[in-house]
Amino acid sequence: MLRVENLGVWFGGREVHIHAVKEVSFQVTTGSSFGLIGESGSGKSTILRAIVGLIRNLSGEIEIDGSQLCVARSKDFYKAVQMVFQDPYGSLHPRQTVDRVLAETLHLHEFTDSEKRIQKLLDDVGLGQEFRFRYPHQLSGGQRQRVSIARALAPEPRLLLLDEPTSALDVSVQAEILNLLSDLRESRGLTYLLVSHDIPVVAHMCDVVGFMKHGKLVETVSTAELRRGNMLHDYSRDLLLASGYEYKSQPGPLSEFNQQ
Amino acid sequence: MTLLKVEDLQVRFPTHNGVVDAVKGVSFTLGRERLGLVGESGSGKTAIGRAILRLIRPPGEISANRISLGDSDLLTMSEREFGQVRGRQISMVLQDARYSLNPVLSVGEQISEAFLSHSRISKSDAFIRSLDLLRSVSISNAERVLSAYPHELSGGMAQRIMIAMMVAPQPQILIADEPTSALDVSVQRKVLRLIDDLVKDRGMGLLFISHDLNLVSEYCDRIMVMYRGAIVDECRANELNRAVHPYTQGLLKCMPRFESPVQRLQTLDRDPSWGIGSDSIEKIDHVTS
Repeated sequence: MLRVENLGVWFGGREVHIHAVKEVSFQVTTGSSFGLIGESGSGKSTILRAIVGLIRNLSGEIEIDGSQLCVARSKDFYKAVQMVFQDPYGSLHPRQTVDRVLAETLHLHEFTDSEKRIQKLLDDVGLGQEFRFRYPHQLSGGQRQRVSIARALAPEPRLLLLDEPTSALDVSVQAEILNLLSDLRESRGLTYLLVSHDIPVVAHMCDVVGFMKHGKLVETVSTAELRRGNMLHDYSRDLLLASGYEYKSQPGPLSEFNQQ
Repeated sequence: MTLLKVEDLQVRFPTHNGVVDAVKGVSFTLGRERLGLVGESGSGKTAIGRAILRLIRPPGEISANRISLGDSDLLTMSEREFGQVRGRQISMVLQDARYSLNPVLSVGEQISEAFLSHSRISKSDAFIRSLDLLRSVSISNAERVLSAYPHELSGGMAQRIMIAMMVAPQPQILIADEPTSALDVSVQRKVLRLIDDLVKDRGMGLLFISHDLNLVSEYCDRIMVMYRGAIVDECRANELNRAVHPYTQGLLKCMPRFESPVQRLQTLDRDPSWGIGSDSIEKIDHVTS
């Protein structure tokens, strides 16, 4: 489905030259789900933005279904690939209703039966018709993320790029959104590329996981191997330890204070 | 030993759609311990922290039967007297330190200001103390950091500076409002360890506010779970898995577990009877949901 070969991304001018992504190669097979894990600044979101065409300073190759992408993305590309952004509060236009957001996307992709499609999209993401003419500020965070997902699904893409889709949400809402994403993947046969810093979330959603550090993809393991802790690279293991909240506070002098 | 005692604390915000009860009659005590306050966004956990320090802005209202620190009654104090408590005896660390620090003052000026307002020392002494302070939170190039502005710092560094500033006047109680949720997991651990060391060294009471149940259960001694402005569950941190309240159990179950994979995550079925007297919040919810 997706093949990334030797991808490099740089920012800055002549004096300051920052390589945000260096020599990253990976493949995502059709129908699977690939996760990218790393600390902030490791370049994981940059990879998604490079694939979707939001970044122009890049080297290397990106292939979708065997055809290489050129700098200007075609309409067919956006029909096949869509992205869901991290912040459901910032990624919806504050003065456009849900209906308008979806109608615009459908119009851009030249669908004529938008009325029927909007109704179906809202049902598919579990919102229902009563949300159709709401503004973003009348929605909760989880509901907004559902709208973002509906918008991304509107052109009927095959590959969804998910940039920390639940990190701004409460755990209870996170569970609902993750379930929704799993259901949609099954019913529509979608392929996911998910970026997150939350290892349990990635392990829950993905079949294969890549670890990013300082712009490099240091290791790619299957989720089964990840659960067994079979990683070759120290960094991956450290990250796993850190996210397991291995740090426990020792019962120390505090209890002594209490006895005084 | 009890440091802080709160009885029947209520925080209300009048809005166009009626009064929102952000905190509905919460009572608890805090000794020299790490007390975790967990809840979803909008449950009122931050409002509690702010209400204790009288940081709720009008038209928000605070009322309580009692808020006392040791022998002194915080409710009846004048604003002037309260200035001696806020920052000196009870201080608060906020979530995103880079936004909470003053963007147009250098770090050095801000830390010195904290010293100058709480003790009578000269400016040069304050500067020397600021250097020591930064070193105490393991910032190695302290001179450079003192002349830096908040936007030039990383999130972890800014949070350490914030913690250093708050702990400097040797308060009895530290309220930490989501101190690590804007930070990476690896930096998170370092900041947590720092708070832990400071709290232990000085025998402070810590009120740790967070939405992360896992983190709180491993970090704190005691946990209170908030739902819609009321404390619905309270237990020792190491007994969290035996929590009885359906809300706490629901929260625990809906997290993806790394060790035990599942096909589908459980979702939380909210029972309207959780949290007492939640009429006005229901009303607001009805508008937004």
